[in-house]
Amino acid sequence: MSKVVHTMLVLIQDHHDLLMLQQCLASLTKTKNSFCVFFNQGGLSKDALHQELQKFDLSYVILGDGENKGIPFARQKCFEYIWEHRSDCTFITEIHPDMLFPSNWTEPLCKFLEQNSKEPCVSPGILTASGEWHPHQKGTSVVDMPSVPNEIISLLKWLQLPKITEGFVHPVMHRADLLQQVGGYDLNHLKGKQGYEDDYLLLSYFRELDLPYNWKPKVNLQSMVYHKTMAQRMHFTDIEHEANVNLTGLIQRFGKQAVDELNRIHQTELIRSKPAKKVVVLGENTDETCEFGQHAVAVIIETGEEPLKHQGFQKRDLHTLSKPEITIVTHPFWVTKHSELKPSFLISMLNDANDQIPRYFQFYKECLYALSNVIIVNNEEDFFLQSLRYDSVFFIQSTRNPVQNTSLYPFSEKEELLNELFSCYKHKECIQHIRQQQIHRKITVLKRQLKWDVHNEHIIGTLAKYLYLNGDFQEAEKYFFEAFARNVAFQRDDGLLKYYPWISLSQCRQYKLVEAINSFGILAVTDENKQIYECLLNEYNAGRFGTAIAMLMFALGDWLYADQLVREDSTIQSMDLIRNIYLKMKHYLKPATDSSLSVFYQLNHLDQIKLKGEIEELQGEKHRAIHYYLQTACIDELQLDAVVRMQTAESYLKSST
Amino acid sequence: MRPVRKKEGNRLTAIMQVRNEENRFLEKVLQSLTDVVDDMVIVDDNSTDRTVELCKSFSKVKEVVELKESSFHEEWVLRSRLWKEVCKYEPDWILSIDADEMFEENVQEEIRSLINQDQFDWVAFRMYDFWGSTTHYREDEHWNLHKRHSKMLVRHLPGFPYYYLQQEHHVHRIPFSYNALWGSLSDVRVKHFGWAGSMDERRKKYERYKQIDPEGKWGSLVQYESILDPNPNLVEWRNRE
Repeated sequence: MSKVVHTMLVLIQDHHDLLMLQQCLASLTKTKNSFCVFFNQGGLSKDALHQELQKFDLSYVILGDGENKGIPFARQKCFEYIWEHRSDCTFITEIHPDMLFPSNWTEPLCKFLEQNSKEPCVSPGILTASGEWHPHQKGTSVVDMPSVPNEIISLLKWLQLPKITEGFVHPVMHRADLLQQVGGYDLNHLKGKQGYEDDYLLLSYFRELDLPYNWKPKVNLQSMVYHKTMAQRMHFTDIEHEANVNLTGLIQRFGKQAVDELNRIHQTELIRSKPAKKVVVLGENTDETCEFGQHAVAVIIETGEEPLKHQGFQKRDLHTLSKPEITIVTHPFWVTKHSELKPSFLISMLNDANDQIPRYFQFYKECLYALSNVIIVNNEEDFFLQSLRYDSVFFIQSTRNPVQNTSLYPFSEKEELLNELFSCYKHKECIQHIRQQQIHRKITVLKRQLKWDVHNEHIIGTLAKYLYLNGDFQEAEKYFFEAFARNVAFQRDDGLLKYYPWISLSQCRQYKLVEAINSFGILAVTDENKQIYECLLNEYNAGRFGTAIAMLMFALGDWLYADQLVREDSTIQSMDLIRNIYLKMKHYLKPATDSSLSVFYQLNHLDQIKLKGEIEELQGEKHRAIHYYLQTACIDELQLDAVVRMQTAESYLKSST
Repeated sequence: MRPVRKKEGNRLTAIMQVRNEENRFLEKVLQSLTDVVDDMVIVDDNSTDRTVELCKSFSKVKEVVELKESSFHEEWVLRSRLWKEVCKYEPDWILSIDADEMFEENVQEEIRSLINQDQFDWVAFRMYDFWGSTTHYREDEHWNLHKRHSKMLVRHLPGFPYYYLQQEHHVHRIPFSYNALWGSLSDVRVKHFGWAGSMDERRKKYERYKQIDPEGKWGSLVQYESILDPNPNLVEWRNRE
C-alpha cells in the first residue's frame, strides 16, 4: 500500500526528453513507498516505455495508448485509475519528467496536509534551470546552477526553509479524498489540450470546498524540487486556441467572476498581511468565547466590576485614545460615544444578555445597527431578522469549541470571524464573501441533517431562511411551504405567522406578485396589515408594480430590498413608503445624500427637529441634542422622553467607566 | 386583483361527494341547500343508480364530476379531488357537506353573515346524529359529535395550500391546513341523517364498517359496536325559537 501515488505524463520527442526522464526517475527511486501512474502521450510505444521504466526500482502502471489527447485528459485518467485501483492512497501528486527529486521530498508535504485538514493541496518550492526559487523569489536568479543531477539534488537540500508561503507551482500534492470530491479535471469543461487546468482545479477547491475568501494554495519550503521548466510543450501549434477552449469551459462552470477570484488566488500580496493595528472595544466583554482576535493590539474600555480577564487588553479612558481602525461595540448605549473615536470600521457585537435592559435599549440598538459596518449576533432568529434590514450581518453561536481541533488553529468561531474581518475590513466585497460562505456552509449542513430528519420543521424552516438569504428564492419558497405543512401536521398552530411572511417575501423576490400579495392578504387580519394590504391592492390594480413590491417587502421586514428598489426604481413615488424606509433604516444618521436630504425636508417640522436631535446625540453633541429635544417638547411634551433616554444612557456609561 | 377577504358579496359554493344516494336524503338535502348556497359542485363516486341525474336536475348544481372508478376505499383521494374541482371556480367560500346532512331551518341570513366578514376563515358547526328517525338524535358517550364543533364552511384563499390526511376512511372534510387559520364556532346546528334509517340499514352500515376497518384503524371499534345498541339514548330535536 502506498500513501502517495505519483502521476506523470510522458511525452518523449527526442533523445533529450528521454535523458531527462531517466534522470528524473533515477531521483524518484530515492523516495520510498511510492507508486507511479504514467500516462503515455507519445514518442515511445507502450513496450518501449515499459522497458525504460523497468530500469528503475519503481512500482508503476502505464496508461494511455501513445496519443496526446491533452493534459487534462491524461491527468484525469491517472486520477480515475487511482480512485478505482488505489483508493487506499492518501495523497496524489502531479509530477513531470523534467524534475529532479531529493530523497523523501514528499514527507514535509504529507505532514503539512496531515496537520492542516482544510488545505486540499500543497506544493514544494522549486528551483528552476535559471537558478530562480519559485514561488518566493521568482524572477531573481539566486544561485549558480550546477549541471550534474546529483549536485542539483544536493543544492536542493541546502535550500530548504522552515517556512510555509502562499503560491502554486508544479509539482503539487493533492489530498486524494478532496481531489476526488471536487472531481479532478472535468473534461466536459476542459476540452482543450492544455491551459488553465491548474486554475480550474484551484477554483474547484475554492468553490466546492467552501474555502475561506482569502484562501490561497500553500507552498511548503521545507521541501524543494528541481523543475527544469523546459516548456516542453510550448512549441505546439494552436496552443492559444486550446487554452482558450479551456478558459471558456472554466468560465462556463464558474462564471465570469472566476477571473477575479483567480486573480486574488494568485496574488502574492495578501490582504491578510495587513491586519488591523488597533481595535477599541466599547463596552463589557461578557462573551468568554471571544478574545477579539490574534492580530489586534486591543484596547478595552470595560464596564462592570470584574477585572479584565483577557490578556493583551488594557483598560483605558476614552479621551486618551487616538483614532482606532476598528471599534467593536458590545452594548448599545456606547453608540453615543463611538463617534468620539471616529473609527474607520464599526462592528456591533451585542449579547443576548443585553436584552435585559429593555428601556431605551431598542432605540440605541437600532442606531448602532444603522451605523455598523458589520453586525454580529448570537441568536439565529435575530440573525434572520437583522439580515433583512442591514448589510453584513453574521451569526455566531457563543461556544468555546475551536473551529478546528488542532494546535495550529485554537480559535473559536467568533474569534475566527473577527480575525478574518480584521484582515479584510477595508474590502466590502471580501466581507460579503465571508458572509456568503457562512451561509453556504449552513445550507450544506442543514441539507445533510434534513436527509436524516426529513420531517423536522425547525431544520426545514431554518434551511428555507438561509436559502432566502442566499438568493435561492424558489427553493426557499418550497421549503417554507414544507415547514408550514409540518407545522400544521404536528398541530403546532403557529405556522401561519412563522412562515407566511417568508412565503410572501420569497414569492415577491421571484416577481410572482399576485401570489405574494395574496399571501400577504392571508396574513392580513390585524387592522394595520389590512390597511397595508388595501394599499398593496390599490398599487397593483393601478399598475404601480414597483411600488407594490417595495411596499410589500418593507412591510414584511426586508428593508434592504425595499430600500434598494426605492433607490433604483424611479417609478416608485410613494412618499409614505420612502419616508418610512428613511426613518426605519435611520438613513439620517449616515452621511447625507441629495435623496436623503430631499426626504428629510419633506418631513414635518416636529420630525425634522427630532431627527436633528438624534443626529447630534449620536455625534456626541449632548447639549445640542438636548436643545433640539426641548424644542420638540414645546410641540409635543411626550418628546421629553428623549432627554430622559439620553440621561439614562449617560448615567449608565458614567457608572461603567 | 381582488382581495382575498371580502366583507360583502361573497359567493358560497357547496361541495359534496355522492354515491348511490337516489333513495336516501339527497333530494331533500339539495333542495335545502338551494336556499343557502349560490352553487354546488358534486363528485359522484361511480354511482349505479340515478344519483347523477338527480343532482343535475337542480339548477344550482354547476358541475357533477363523474368518476368512472370508485375511490370509496381511498376517501382522502376523493376529498382532494372534490377540493380541486371546486377551486377551479375560485369561489369565495366553500361549504363541505354530505348527502345526508342539512342545516336546521331558516339559517340563510345567519350563514350569509358568517361569510360576509373579514375576520375569520372557517366556521364550525355542531352536528347532530339523528337515530332511527328524523325527530330524535342520539346522545351518549360514543355519539356526541354535537357537543363539539366540526369545520364545514371555509373561505377559499388563493394559493393557500391544502392537505388531507392520507386516510382511507373518516377523512376530515376540510383540508387540515385550515387549522392554521383563524375561525369561528357557530350556534347554527346541522342535522346528520346517516343513522336516521331503519335498524336494517344501520346494521348494513355496521357490517360495512367492520369489513373495511376490521381493526379500528380509521375509527373506534367500540363506537362501531355501539351502532347495534338496542336501547340507545335518544333526545328529541327541538327547533330554535
